[in-house]
Amino acid sequence: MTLGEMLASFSRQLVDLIQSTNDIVRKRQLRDQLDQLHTLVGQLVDANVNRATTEYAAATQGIQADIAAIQNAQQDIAKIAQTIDAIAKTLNALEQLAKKVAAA
Amino acid sequence: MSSFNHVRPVSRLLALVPALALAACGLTVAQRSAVGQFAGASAASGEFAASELPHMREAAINLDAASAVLRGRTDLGKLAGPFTPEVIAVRVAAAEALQSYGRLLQALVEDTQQAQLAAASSHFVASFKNVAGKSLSDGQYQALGTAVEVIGGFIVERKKKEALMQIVPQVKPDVDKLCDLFIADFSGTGLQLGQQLAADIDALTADLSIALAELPRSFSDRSFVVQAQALVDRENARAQANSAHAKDTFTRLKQANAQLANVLASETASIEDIVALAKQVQAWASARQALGAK
Repeated sequence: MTLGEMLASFSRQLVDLIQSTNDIVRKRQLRDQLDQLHTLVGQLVDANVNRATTEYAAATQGIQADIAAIQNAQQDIAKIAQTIDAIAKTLNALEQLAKKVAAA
Repeated sequence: MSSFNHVRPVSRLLALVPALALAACGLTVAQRSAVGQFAGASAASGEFAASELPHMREAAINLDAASAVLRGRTDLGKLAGPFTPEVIAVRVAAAEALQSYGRLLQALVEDTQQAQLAAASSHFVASFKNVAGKSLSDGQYQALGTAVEVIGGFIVERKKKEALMQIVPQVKPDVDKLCDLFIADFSGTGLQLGQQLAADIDALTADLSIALAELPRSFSDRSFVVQAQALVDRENARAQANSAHAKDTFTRLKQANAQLANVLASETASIEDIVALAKQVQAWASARQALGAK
């Protein structure tokens, strides 16, 4: 069992006890214990959330760099048709040149 | 220049097509399928996380506010707890990056450049006619255009494969990392945001138990308790469903990511890939026949 699972289980058990007792004083005592437990959970969560936020940002930055690489690849692929077009233009230019040479 | 001399280079060009098809073969059916599966999984999981995380912040504020009212608390400065706008914004940006990555991969695979290649090959044939003179039949020119288009298509497919083989292994660790982070964040036991939300739900459940034991007398008190209980029930059900869904969705995304990387690394072609290749070969074979090439 992980620490998170133990703390969650303990929290649920305290809530079950609060719900099952009819003694209002006992309910309040248990509620105070639940508060202490949740303070501990909050401290651990705060520390983990801050660390995870840094990790999220780093992983997101990595993915965004690769998104740029995909966009570059898409532009590169679009150039194939442009290259065929460029060859066609070159052929046209050669044809014009050949006509001029023949006329000269 | 005789028409015979034009036919031979063109037929040679067409004869090259099978070699190009094999040398410049693009993505296999299995690879396309893996990209599709990954794209679908990443879009779904990114959308889920991007919409649920802001809701978790709202839920935490509402639960904590109800608790504060029932306990007569006055420290209302941190109702959101760790669900700060900055924390949520970073996670939503990560979810959106996952979505964008999947969609772009899909677009890369689906972008055949067919219309652009068809237009370019028509232009090419028109130019070729000008240079060579009207030495080939219309059918032969049409075959030449098809050949140019098919070869362009093969190059497009090859470039796609090269891009995917470079990008996917590079981005895999980041995608895996985000999946692990999201699983932990939605889990009620991950000591991350999900566990804080579970603690807020437990806290309000306990406060409601005490409030009900004290028998609220006024209508507004009773109304508040009933609404707070409804809030607990709704958010508890949603948090549990989200935890299970996140675990399932992000685990599947990690699997799809691993499969995508494996299938791109593997050069083993399945029978479906060979059938697909055969269909491509058939397309240019008819073009070659039109030229009367042997």
